[in-house]
Amino acid sequence: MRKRAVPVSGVLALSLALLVSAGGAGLTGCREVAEAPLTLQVPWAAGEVTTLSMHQGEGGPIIGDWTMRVESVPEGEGWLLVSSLNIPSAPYSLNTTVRVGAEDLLPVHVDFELLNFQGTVTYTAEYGEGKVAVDADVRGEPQSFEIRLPDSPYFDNEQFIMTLRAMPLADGWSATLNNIITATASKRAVRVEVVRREDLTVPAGTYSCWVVELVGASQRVWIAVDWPYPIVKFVNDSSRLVALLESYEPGE
Amino acid sequence: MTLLEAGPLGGRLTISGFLAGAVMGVAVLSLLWWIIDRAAWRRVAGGVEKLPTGVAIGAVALLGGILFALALIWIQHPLQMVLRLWIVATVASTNPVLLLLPTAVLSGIVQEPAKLLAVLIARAQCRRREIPGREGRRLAGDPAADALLYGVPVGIGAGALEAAMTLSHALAMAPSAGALLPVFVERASALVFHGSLTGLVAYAWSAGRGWLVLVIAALTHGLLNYVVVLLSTRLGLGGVWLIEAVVAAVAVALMLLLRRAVARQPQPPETGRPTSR
Repeated sequence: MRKRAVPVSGVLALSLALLVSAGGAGLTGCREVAEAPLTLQVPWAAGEVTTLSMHQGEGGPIIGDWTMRVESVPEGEGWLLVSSLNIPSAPYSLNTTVRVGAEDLLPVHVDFELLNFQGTVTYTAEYGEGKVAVDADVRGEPQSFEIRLPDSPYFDNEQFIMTLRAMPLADGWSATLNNIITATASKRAVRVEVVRREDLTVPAGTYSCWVVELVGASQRVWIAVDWPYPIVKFVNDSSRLVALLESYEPGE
Repeated sequence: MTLLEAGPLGGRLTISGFLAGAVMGVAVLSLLWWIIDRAAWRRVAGGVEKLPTGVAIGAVALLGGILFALALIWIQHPLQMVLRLWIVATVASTNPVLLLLPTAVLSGIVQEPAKLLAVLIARAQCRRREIPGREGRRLAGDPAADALLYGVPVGIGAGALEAAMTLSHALAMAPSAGALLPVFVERASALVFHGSLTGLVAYAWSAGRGWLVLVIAALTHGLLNYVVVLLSTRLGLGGVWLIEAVVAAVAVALMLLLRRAVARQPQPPETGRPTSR
């Protein structure tokens, strides 16, 4: 039986072209995370409370609220970053507590609870030497996994936005940070850039802000230029959520 | 969204999403047939006298969608979960170039054989029914016929399922009609991609080069997924049209390859006997 001519060479050429494209895409923006050492300055104090309203799209109706609190660790050093995001209409409720180091803000422990129309998901994440161990309950089904940690610094996704406040933000500043996304058993290097300075009026008042973009994540954060650098606005283009500062109470 | 919330099919299927996927599937299938080789299609379709063509093609597409879905649920998703957990527990790096490659490539390795299986089942069923061709010629063993009657519809069935799931989510979440445009463009390109690639695999299988082209097709599919995911992580929503262009370019290239193969195939002899295996 004579084999018929098939477009093998054409398909092969296409595959090779894709390989080259993949290599190019992969190298695009590929930076080693080990840039100049980060100098963090903790801006908050125990008792700080930040309250934001959640909107469906820019200028859209209020659909929920987001509260972030800072507490000191009862016995020992460090901070508890407590976040509570609620969208009653969805329904959607996300409650997290991240214990971080006092100065380096490295994550130590995470408590996570998510309630939505599918049910409840909870997990605890314990950061140890070179790895983080996650024990989860996914709608009654237990699951466990580990994530190998990169070299320090790294931050848990549930503390990422708050931790940006401690960065040395300035005009043109940028850095690549290790983001450990314990909720999805993943991790990625996230490029953060200060794209501009902008004056912004929100329900809590008018602030001069650094606009920080999380490159590739379709998220932007407006952080006040003045101490203690509260979060003024947060936008997630993927989910079309906009959070605006309603009130800010500095800690003691 | 937590790891174990997203199901293998990516969410809930809605009626509007299902209808949109089905309509897009029919439209792209018709377009592919019209573009690839109208003369060859008439030659092929003219032989299918005893079976209602529309029902038969629809059944083939449905089979493709079903096997595609089963492959996703039973094989791809569980394997990707295991692979993903192994990677994050083993590799310290946070570089997406390393982390995303294995799971992206795995999708092609699972999906292309699943679609080929649907092609072979459909072809075997039609052969069992001994569908005679015009002038007594059997269609069995005609690579062009296998590509157009089985390969392309199976690919469209798989792509239509993907489109239905994606559009179910997009139609529920999109703030405006304009926001849906890139989604529809991307799904149309994906339908052309699936139909053309599976058509090529079916053609090659009938022509005796099936295993080689299947491997290349699986790698091509996986690499395309990898490039798309990598570009998404680099560019976010700002790079959506670049990503659309990449997918569309690959899909059109595959369609032209299939058209070329079908057009170059000589007419089989009118002997009433199969012309290849």
